[in-house]
Amino acid sequence: MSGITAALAQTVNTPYTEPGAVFVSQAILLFGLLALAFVALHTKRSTLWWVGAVVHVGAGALLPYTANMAGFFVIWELVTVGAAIVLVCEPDADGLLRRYLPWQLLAAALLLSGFALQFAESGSIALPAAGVTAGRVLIGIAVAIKAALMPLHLWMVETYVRVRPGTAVILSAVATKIGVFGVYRLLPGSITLEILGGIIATVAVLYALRQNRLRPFLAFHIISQVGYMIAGVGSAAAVAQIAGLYHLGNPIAYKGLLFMVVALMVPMTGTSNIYSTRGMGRRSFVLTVAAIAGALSISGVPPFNGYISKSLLQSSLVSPVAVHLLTIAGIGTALSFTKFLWHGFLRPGPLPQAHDVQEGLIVKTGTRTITAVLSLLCLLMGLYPRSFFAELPVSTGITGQSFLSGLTWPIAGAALFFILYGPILRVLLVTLPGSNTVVSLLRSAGTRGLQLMQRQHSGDIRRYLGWAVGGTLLLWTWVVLAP
Amino acid sequence: MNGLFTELPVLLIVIPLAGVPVLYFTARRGLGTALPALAVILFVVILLSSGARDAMHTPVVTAAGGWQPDLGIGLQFDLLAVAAMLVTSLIVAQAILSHDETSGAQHFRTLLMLLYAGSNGLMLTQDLFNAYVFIEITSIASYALVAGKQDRGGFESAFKYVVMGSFAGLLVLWGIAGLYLTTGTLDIQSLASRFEAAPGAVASLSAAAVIAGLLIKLGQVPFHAWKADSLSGASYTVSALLSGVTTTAFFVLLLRVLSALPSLTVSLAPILTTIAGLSIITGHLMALRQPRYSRLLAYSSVAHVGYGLLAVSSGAVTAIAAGLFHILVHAIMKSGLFFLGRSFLHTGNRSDRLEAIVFPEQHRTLHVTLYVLLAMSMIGIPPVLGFTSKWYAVLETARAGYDTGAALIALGGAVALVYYLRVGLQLVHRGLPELSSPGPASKRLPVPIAGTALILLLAAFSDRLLGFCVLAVVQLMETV
Amino acid sequence: MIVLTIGITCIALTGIGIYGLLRRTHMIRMVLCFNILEAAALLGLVLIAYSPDARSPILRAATDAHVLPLPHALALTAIVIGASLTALMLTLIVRVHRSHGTVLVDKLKDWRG
Repeated sequence: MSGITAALAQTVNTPYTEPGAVFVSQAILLFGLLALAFVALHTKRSTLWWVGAVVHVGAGALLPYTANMAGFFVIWELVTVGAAIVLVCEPDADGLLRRYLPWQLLAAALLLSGFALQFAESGSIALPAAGVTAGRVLIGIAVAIKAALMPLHLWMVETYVRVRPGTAVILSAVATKIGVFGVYRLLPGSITLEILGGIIATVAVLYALRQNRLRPFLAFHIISQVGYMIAGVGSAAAVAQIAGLYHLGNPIAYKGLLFMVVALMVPMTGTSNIYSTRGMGRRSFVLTVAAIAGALSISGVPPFNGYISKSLLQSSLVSPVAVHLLTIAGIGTALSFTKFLWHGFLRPGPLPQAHDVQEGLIVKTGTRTITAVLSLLCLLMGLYPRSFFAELPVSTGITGQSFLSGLTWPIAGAALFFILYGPILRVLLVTLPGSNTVVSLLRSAGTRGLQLMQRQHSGDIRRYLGWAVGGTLLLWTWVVLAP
Repeated sequence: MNGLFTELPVLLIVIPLAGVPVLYFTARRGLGTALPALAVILFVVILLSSGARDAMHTPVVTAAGGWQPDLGIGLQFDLLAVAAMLVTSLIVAQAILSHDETSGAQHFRTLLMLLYAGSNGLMLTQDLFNAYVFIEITSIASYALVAGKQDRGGFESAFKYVVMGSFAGLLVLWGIAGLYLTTGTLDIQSLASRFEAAPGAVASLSAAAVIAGLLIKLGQVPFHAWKADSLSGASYTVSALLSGVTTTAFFVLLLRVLSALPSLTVSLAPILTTIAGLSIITGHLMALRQPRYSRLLAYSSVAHVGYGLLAVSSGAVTAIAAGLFHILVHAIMKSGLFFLGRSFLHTGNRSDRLEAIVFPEQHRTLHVTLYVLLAMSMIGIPPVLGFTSKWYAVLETARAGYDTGAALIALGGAVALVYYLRVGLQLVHRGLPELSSPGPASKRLPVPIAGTALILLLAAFSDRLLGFCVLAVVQLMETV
Repeated sequence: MIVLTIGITCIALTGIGIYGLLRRTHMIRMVLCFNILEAAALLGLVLIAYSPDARSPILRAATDAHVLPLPHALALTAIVIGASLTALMLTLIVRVHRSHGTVLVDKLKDWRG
């Protein structure tokens, strides 16, 4: 039976406690709480907003504990419902809901179809521990949307740049993570997923390099990091899966850190254009340290946490293609964040005009503390990885030799920024198609199809009668011809 | 079984039918009609619930007037009828309460009683020709109800409706004549055995004609096109009745016919599922670009009845039960959305164009909440009842072997979101338009609150409700 | 022979009715087509009941061979329903003519799409 209330009760009574799932849940919960604390200190929000945010984070943290499809689907949808409530409270709610919800519901619908196939095959709504055995493509697309993998990423880029900064922090805490968790939990490991993850990590970095606005820039980097996670959790190798999971936990620290830095930077410098931000280094010491820590982590520089998961990932992946792709993505990430740090923090030059700066919003002590805590977390997760995730192999850690070799690619990336950034940018601008090409092509074709369909319903009752007569004849033909 | 009770189901038809002249004459004398109409509903509901326990064990078969079926007419008072009639009674009661201000209210209630009697008969009857009579009673009442606004749009809608409806009626009549010719019976139960015993081209063609007629009434592709046009000119209350009561009644009749012809149902399954799939696609896609509230909901009904038909034609008992469950839930929530439309009128605006409709200032938050809940239910977002019914429909359809169909049902929700979101944003964000004469403000809370409360409350009991539907379907299969 | 004649008439009437419904725009003609279709169905019912050398089903002596009574009862009911439908359609046509100023059905295009 496809009973749903019984299945939901089962989620509560006998939760699924595989270590990876528990780690993901804790990661989402921890980051969610930090994000909520950040917003609480940063700005005032309405009660409804808080309700939505708590539902969003809570459902996200609950999701890994479910062992059946009904629970998984309902909680997955509650994450969306929570996000929708949050978005309703944003200033541009109309536009946000229009951009966010259709994609999420499409993902839910695909997930439901995939579950239906799985149910048809197994006759039970339990989720197999080794991933589903039917409907993998549908479920794959569903989690790809949730994880914002290109070219299904539009909802994320379009939403995250339109919400208020604090909201972006909350949303980024959960949505993509449960997408990655979906890959881990629902899809069996395969080389295809490894390579797919590598491709996405690389392509998204290329798009990030093209951006000149802060938040799309960060959004594309999130997608790229998600590519790393997919390559890991989608791998058939157990160590790679663990590395992927740890990489899923890492952004708790660095991605949140970067979003918070950006959230504070925009009002302080009065612009969201990367090339126009400047002088942050001389304005706020804490923020500068935080930005550097975040950038080093995401670029995989030892001894920060990004290094641990990335190096483990690269050494454990099955497919060499994926390994090379991730190396390219790593160089690109380092290049990209060198650009970010250079323009925003390190570049010499005059400070922006005083009237551009909204002093009232300058870092309050509370937010400063959170960024400091997160920076420290980045470092600690790099130095003592096994205290955070006990499943990591015993050998994980930083030695003198690995420290030096770990520096190679990030330094190469940073060097590229100072030597070749101009030509690279020009090539990218010319060659890459707009990241929304696929979707807008589909959209215009769909509109034309709908118009055609609507014109057929001309309002002439005789035409409708003709359809009915035709339908009856069709039924009759079938009855006569059918065996 | 209580001996007396076997005669009582007749009252489910007779009492509302007797209400028609009574209400007509009290209306003529300017007396109130709401109370007697409500009394009828109350009576029916009490009768239903007191009989439900008997029906739970074995269906009560009434031989009207003591004439046994095959010569007389049998009424089948089973769980299917109980479940469906409880839902339709709820909607009819809502309609009586909701239609309070307009001048035509009294005649409206008279016609409503006729519709109610006809639809009860449709769901109870076990005799095909009797079913034809009830089809026409229900339809004639609804044609008149659609024209009830007495304006340009109403007459156009009613004319289109009457043309398509009469054609459907003729198809059913031909089919019944053919079935009688080949099997020599009109009783659905004896039809089952005799149809299997003497299968032939004529019998199958006749049965297909009956099914085609019912598909027109249900508005399935390619028989669907009248549906939006007919609801466009009707008032919101009438639209609620048409998409809630008559659709449910016709669906129940279709279930009875299909279950009596198992071999034909199997051979028709591919084409029925195709029809259902096309209805889901067409309904949702056409709803995407509709400029009017009623039309949008009408096309959405095409899709939702498609869900039910798909599940039913897949043939498995649990799938049929899931389809029935979804149709009943759909009746409640779709009529709820139409009843909600009545509050647009309180702003003084008579048009149902999407850019013009807006919730009145009074009870605004309540209205918005209701809309959001109903829309969530229509789309199938947890934790409301519409989600659970869709969940069962998707999973059970897939298990019955119709993967594509299951995927269509699931994907339908994603498309539905787009148009319900569009309407919702219009309703919430648009400021009140400048109106020359604001309409009468209603002191009463919006009527659909009852329906919506039900949707919310019952989601927690979904497994049990589905179990009830499974029981009803099993009973239906066994008695045939 | 008579069965064949009536059968052919019945089918021919159905064809004429359907053709007229689909090809004629005048509303009154559509009503007429419905009446033709209904007449065809009634003929069909009568044909079902027919058996050669049988009398009308009014019992005079129990031994009389008589035609099936049930289809006649059905036909009577169908006539009543048909008459009320015709009345309703004609009423609507009058009202549509007043509101739209036309009796051509292809001019009824307020609702479409």
